[in-house]
Amino acid sequence: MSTANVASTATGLSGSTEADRRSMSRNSQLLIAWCGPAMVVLFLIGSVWLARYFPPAIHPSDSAQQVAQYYQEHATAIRVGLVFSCLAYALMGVWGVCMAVQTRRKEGLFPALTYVQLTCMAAGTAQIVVNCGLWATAAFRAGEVSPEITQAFNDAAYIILLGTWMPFTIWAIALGLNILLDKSDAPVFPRWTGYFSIWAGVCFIPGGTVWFFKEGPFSWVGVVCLWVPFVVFGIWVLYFSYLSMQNVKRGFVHEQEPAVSS
Amino acid sequence: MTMNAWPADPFASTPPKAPERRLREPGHVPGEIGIWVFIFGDLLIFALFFGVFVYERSRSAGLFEQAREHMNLTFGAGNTLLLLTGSLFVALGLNSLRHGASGPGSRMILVTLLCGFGFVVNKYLEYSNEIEAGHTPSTNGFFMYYFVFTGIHLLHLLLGMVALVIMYLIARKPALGSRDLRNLEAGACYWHLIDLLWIVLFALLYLMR
Amino acid sequence: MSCEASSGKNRAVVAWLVLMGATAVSWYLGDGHGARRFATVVVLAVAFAKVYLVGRYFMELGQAPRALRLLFGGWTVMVCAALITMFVVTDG
Repeated sequence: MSTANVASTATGLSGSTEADRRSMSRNSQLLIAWCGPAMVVLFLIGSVWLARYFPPAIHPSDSAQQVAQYYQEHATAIRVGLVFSCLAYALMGVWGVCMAVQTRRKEGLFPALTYVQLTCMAAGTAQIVVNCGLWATAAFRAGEVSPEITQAFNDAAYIILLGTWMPFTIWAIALGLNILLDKSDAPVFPRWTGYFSIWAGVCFIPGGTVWFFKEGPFSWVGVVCLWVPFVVFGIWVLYFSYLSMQNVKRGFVHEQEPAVSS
Repeated sequence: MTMNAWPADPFASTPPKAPERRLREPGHVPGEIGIWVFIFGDLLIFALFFGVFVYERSRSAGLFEQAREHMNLTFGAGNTLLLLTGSLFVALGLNSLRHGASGPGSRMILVTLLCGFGFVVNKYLEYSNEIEAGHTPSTNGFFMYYFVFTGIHLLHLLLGMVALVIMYLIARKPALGSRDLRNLEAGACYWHLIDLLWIVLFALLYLMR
Repeated sequence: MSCEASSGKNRAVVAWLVLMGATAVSWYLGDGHGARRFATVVVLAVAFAKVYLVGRYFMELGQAPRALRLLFGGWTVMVCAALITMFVVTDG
């Protein structure tokens, strides 16, 4: 007991023992890891069930009148659904921190790739939170203003949701490189998941076709443009959440490479 | 030194490095298992692309055939030959490097890089030809698939050229360890994947009548 | 050692020659020669035969663990069969 007190005063953290700090670290890391599955559930409630943005009830080839009418008739479900969806997207920012905390441990004193993960993850989160705002704007005056305005906001939201894949791809590649560039025999995550993460990043790219096509598999209802990135993103989030929880459960919460923690 | 305060790192107790692997022993995974996760992931996505293309083609066969007749087969076939030759040289280069011939091995990787560069130039000429002739992704279904699929393939190829540059730098090392060989094999497998996907794209976009 | 090196080399060169030949055949068929429907089926079959050769001799799946070989062979056969079936069934 007395030695622990000496140790903690020496590091300027009087009052908290090593065990306390470990327990706090463990709980906070589990909390943010669980944001991955939580995000998926909230997305299912908000976007799949209530607002019906996934799979999209509104097609890019629908006329402005059809779009405005849909928003007018489903205004409440869309608004409530958007609250859930937006919450899901905001949790992505929290979940991204979970990945960064995991990889930061091994990356050394200047964790460049972890910083890349964090900035790209934050930029991506900002984008998709904003597109919820655009959908909400479309719902705000649907029926009162000319239908083209409602349609334009709905278009803008999908074009941001799928078309801005770049931060997401860079994020996934940075996470993958974080794992692959680790030359120790014990990377933070199993080595093959580094390749898996880079593959996931490549799979987000087809979302970019939303900018060019109003129908077919490359439009926002299409299998290539919508389903490939979303399904792969979901698997990516859930699997890395699982791996992070495993790391925490193995008691691996408060350690750093000796060279780093000095 | 002050580190004894931390509990033991559970990851530090993993077994020591595997012994140097022997050359191409039976049951040896080319590269490492991770690169095959990537390759099969990509094969899955491209299988979807191929299926979508043949399905959509069957729904408007006349239009697709008409559009295909505008295609210049020489560009497509030329690119196939370039990629096949590049694949041969990367395979030969790997073979030399395994037997310690660093000079020839690294030069063969350079030849592959040259083939990849030729592919990009060829693709640039072909794209500009098509656009000059008034064919863009929004012209019709055929050209939409043509531009998107070859574009995604081209992105893969550019990534592969980055991999080749890294492989060249590894190959120039005076002595190769088992980690170097693993990375070289993984890079070679990725380059062959690009070749393999193009073989099918060539058949679907240029040759299906 | 040098014997093994040259055998690996020969395998790759032979595979390359076959692949070039197969490309020439499918190029000829795709360029309007032969009965249309037959030509397309052959073009698709040749393409996936080439895929298999690339996997076996260039990616060195020949010596790889069984699971990997089966997975790759399975992909080749399944996708080839699916595409040819789709073409033949829908081609009026």
